[in-house]
Amino acid sequence: MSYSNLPLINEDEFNAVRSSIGEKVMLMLEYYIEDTELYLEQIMDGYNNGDFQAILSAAHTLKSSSRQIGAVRLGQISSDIEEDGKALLEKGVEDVKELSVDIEQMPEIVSETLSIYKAKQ
Amino acid sequence: MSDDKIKTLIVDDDRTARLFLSTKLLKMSHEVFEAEDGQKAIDVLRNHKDLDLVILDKRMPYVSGISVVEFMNNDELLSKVPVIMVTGFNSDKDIKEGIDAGVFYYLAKPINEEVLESIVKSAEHDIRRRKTLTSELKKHKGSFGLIRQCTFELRTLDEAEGLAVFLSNCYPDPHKVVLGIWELLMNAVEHGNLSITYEEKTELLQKNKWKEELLRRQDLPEFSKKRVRVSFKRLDNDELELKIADEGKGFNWRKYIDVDPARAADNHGRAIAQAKSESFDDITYNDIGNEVTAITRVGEEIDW
Repeated sequence: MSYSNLPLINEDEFNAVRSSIGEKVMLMLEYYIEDTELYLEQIMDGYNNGDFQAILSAAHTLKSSSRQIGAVRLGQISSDIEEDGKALLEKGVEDVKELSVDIEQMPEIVSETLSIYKAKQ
Repeated sequence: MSDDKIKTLIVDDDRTARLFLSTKLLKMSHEVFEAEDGQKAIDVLRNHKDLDLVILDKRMPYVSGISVVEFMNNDELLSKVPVIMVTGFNSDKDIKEGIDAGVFYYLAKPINEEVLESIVKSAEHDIRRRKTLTSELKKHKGSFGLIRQCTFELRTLDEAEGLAVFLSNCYPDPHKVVLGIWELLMNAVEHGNLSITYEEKTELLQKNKWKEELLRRQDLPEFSKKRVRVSFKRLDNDELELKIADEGKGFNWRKYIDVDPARAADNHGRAIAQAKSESFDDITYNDIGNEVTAITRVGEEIDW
């Protein structure tokens, strides 16, 4: 599935967070940028090492943090990875390569998303 | 009610979520503590048993939110601290797990500012109510253990508050029942006699006009003569029976006797389920829902 039809950022959602917490949004951006890079690493390492739990744990948190700050595309792919992975595990499938979500899209989506947020800092 | 700052612990492995929550709660004049995982939360809880509220992410690695709730449930003081469970609301199973663990407040991710304020205010109301009632309990010691039977009539919320404190002293553990008695009395007054619907209360709470509306209705001609009748009896089989009857048309109590996942994030509507879960051994309503019976089973040797 391609996520290019989804916006990278919903500016209204980001602005809602900014008006909600004021100047602390800059600190939130800093945290989000740093942590997203770590979560991406965790997801890709998990994918390469066949570690489902590592993938799902990182995808779960990345889904929530992305949606909180208006990162639509990244939030959606993270959600799809989580749901897809959970469904596979419930069926007893343990091979991460069975994930139908194309995890290889993650680095580019992360990079594009974080570029926008870095420009806001 | 007490105006002391509410002490709140925020537990989430995502620091952006912790930052958002702490910023909002500080604006709501809370004193805020943070923990980045379940184990650190347990460490904070061990050292701060005077915490008033915990906002807890359900899914965390290693020690989950449910495990933190189970830890709290095993502590006499912490078991009374309300928990707001933050969850993705991905399935009813998510909520059911929390309900089974005794969690009554829920918040969906991503966190909506207005919903957060509404749920926190709902929890604050219960926290302050519990503190007030608990401090009043200490003033009403006496020969309550000698009471076999008593009946009362009340009209207003203030009278309900006083009676809740008085009656709870008739129980082996007054602290356990005082809030449950209060909730059942309040339900009889506001929904029974004053005919405030669920939807009206939701809106009144959002606009911070709930108390004002109750006071207004209490004095209206169509409501001012209505009474709530209360009876307390110590039964021969070592049960304590509390009956509360209002003069309203009744309500669909079956919807509220247990926490419904569909209403888990509402700003009210959990009081009867909480009373049933935390204060009494059994609660039943008559068919139409304008009389409730709450039963407490006591042992033979009670230290009054």
